[in-house]
Amino acid sequence: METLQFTRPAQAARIQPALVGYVGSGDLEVMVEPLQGSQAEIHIQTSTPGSEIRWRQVIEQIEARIALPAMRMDIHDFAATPGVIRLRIEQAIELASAMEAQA
Amino acid sequence: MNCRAHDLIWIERGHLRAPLPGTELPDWVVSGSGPVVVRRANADYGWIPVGIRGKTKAERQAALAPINGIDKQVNPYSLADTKPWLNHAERDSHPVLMTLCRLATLLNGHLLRWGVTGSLGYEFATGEAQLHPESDLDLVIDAPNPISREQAATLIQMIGTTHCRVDIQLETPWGAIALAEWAGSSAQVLQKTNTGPRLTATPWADVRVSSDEGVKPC
Repeated sequence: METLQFTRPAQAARIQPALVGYVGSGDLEVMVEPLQGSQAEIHIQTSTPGSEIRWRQVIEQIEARIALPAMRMDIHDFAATPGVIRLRIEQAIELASAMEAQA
Repeated sequence: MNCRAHDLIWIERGHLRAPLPGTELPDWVVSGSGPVVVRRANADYGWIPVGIRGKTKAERQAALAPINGIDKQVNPYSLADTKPWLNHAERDSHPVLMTLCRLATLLNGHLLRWGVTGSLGYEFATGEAQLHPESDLDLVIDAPNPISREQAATLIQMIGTTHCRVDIQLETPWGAIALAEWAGSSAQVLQKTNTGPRLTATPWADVRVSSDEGVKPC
């Protein structure tokens, strides 16, 4: 397992903890927790060595589509493809934000 | 003859081509031996998308196999039919085989058509030892008709605690979903289709993808 960390600018937002995904090969688990301030801290544990550039690209693609909320995001990756990673991260952020609307 | 994801096919390595034009397959693929695994991807008519396992986990390569070059094909379901785990030397000691012995009875008892994929499927098909102490058990359940979320949850409950990590995929006509995720509370689940992954609440009922999804002529 390799550990990666990215800190990205984010918008202060009221979000709730969320957990999505699946612990299985070709998939990943994404946990989101609210964080004070205006940063998104993304911690990644991945079974794919040397994947930092790929992860950076996926995060940049997500940022181009949605505004990241201030959060701590923990990811356990089991060799998911970039397409699966993008879907799971967006699913987690959507769920964390949707809970706020319900509260 | 049809090919679906996880099928193992035997083909001369020299017949394979790289998935992207202008690229070449690495030497270890061309000089290697053993069956290749059908992948979930789109391919030109007459070609099957495959993956090749190397000696290490880092050695995984995508390629395209010409349909008319296939020598032999084995699917995960036929691997389970002959119950090869019963004759395995480690059936009473390896966590994966101990788990499989129990789950086989459970799944057969539910009249499910199921198969063995991953490294154990490869081992059953080739006789080459693939299991290591940290191996997972990868299974697929053929699910042409809907399995309700309640049925999935009941199955997960009956599977209970296992000696090793178990990954069971439900193979719908449109692509695969994880049994455990379908059994859980997430409104949408990830479905791996031939045209890529998507999130859906209705994995069996979607008309947006063409009806030949998941099955390729070969």
